[in-house]
Amino acid sequence: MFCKKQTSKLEGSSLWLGTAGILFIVLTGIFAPWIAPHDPLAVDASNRLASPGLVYPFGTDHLGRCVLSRIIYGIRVTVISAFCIMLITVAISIPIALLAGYIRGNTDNIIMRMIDGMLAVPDFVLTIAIVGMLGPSFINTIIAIVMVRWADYVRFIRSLVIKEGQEDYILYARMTGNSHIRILSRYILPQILSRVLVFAALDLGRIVLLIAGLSFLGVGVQPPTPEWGVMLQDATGYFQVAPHVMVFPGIAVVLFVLVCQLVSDQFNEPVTKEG
Amino acid sequence: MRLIYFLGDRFLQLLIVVFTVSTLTFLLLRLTPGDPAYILLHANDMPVSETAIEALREELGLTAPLWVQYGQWLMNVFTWQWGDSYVSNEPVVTELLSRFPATVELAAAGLLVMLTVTVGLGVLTAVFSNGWMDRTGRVLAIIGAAVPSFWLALLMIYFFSVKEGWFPTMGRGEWSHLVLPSLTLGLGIGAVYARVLRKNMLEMFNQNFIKASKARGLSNGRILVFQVFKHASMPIVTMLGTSFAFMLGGSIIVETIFAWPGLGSYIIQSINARDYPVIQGYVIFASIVFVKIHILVDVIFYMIDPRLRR
Repeated sequence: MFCKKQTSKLEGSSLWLGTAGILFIVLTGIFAPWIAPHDPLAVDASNRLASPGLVYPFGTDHLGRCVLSRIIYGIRVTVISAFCIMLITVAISIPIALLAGYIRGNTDNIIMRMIDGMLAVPDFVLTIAIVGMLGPSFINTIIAIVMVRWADYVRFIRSLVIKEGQEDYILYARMTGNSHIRILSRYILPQILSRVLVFAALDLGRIVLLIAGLSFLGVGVQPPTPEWGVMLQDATGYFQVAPHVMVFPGIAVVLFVLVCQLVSDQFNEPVTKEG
Repeated sequence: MRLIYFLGDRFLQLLIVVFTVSTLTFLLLRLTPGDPAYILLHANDMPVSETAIEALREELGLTAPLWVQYGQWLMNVFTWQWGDSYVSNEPVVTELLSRFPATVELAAAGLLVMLTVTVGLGVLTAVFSNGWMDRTGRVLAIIGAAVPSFWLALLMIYFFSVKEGWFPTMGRGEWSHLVLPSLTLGLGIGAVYARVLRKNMLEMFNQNFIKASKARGLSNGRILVFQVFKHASMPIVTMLGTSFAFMLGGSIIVETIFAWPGLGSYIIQSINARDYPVIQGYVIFASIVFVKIHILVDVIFYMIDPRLRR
């Protein structure tokens, strides 16, 4: 057991498995109306809490709504809003990070002190508090998550900007009289953009957990919208007699986070080695 | 770095965090739809009239210019006068402090579960690396990071309470009340940290001083406990602080599910009751607690790691 060489556990297949999984889930969400067997909001009063069967593959919930259809439509709400949150956060944090990482000095100090301050508080606590004060709703959930997550993004992007800014070609660009704006937009930004997008993509799973968690607590997406966290919240009163109302939405959340992780494992290794 | 400078820097950090969070909550409260005076009257079932609202606005200082209100608010934050709860009319600080011990108890139990899983699984998977146990450990870590606590809690309630009837699912009391909530808090993160410990230990196996000990004829068990584990667990100490903070945050979900009478379930009740002073107070309180935990961890680290004292 000692002095043994560490074997690399990277398997290239999990990257493809993860990417295929994310693609599959997103496509299922986009084509939900053709794939879902029922209307996610249609109430079937005679079939409440029906067990999984032929008509309702995953059974029905306490109002007789098809669990499978709600999960499929839930992709639209959860995953697509997670994509939106990710893109908005990237759009906000890139300028701030460029500013802090390129100008440095006091601007950088002030921004980083604020970010350290925000990162000292767990994101869930801050998100909950912001949603709580703005009032529970879908839009406010998105606002709150963006307001909390940007700090982490800025910290990461800033480190990339600083590293890139020390390269010789940037020095050359400056010596040949390029303006700062031009250096930032033509030289630094294109260089770091791909890594920023990978970082953001890896954050998807975490954002989905945040959305589902908030919705589960009743302060995120509001019922009757089919959302995974909302479905689990609905299930709390009924899963003792009909466990399927709780099992399937949970599997949906876990599966999505898992495929995100499969992808992120592949990227995390080289990134940490470089840094 | 001298400890005094070190502490001074951390204290400054604490002030900045409290300042940032207070400013944020102040701005948010001004952005929220609805007049606080109206909400307060409504919450107390008092007749809502124009004159009553005006009087209350005057009393709450809402008529003053915004920057005066902001200055007043900052003063109040730093003197622990965080206003009264709209619901109970008790000071927010009193309300929060009365629920804090329950949350600490839960977080401590969760931490215990986490440590057990981390050390147990981490050491086993490192010693038998690349065996079946290692593969199981890897899968467990991936699942542990992916399973949301609210789902894990429901699953455990179903299997251990509804089906088997082993543990109660609601409230605080005997030790059996602690089992399910603390498992929910500690299992997942424990499995994730076990991977970190495993990786650190594997790196240690290749270190020269371990090889030297081996050559001197020390037993494998001795090397494992007194050298590999001791060094490999250093980063885990840092993570202890982070994870304790993480558990105070995770307790919001867990306390709500298990009706645990702590801060987490209180904040959700307060959000539903639009009890803004409590929400404000909670986030400031939480940030102070988190930063203090980080400071404590840094000091402990400073004490045990001689390299930091040079």
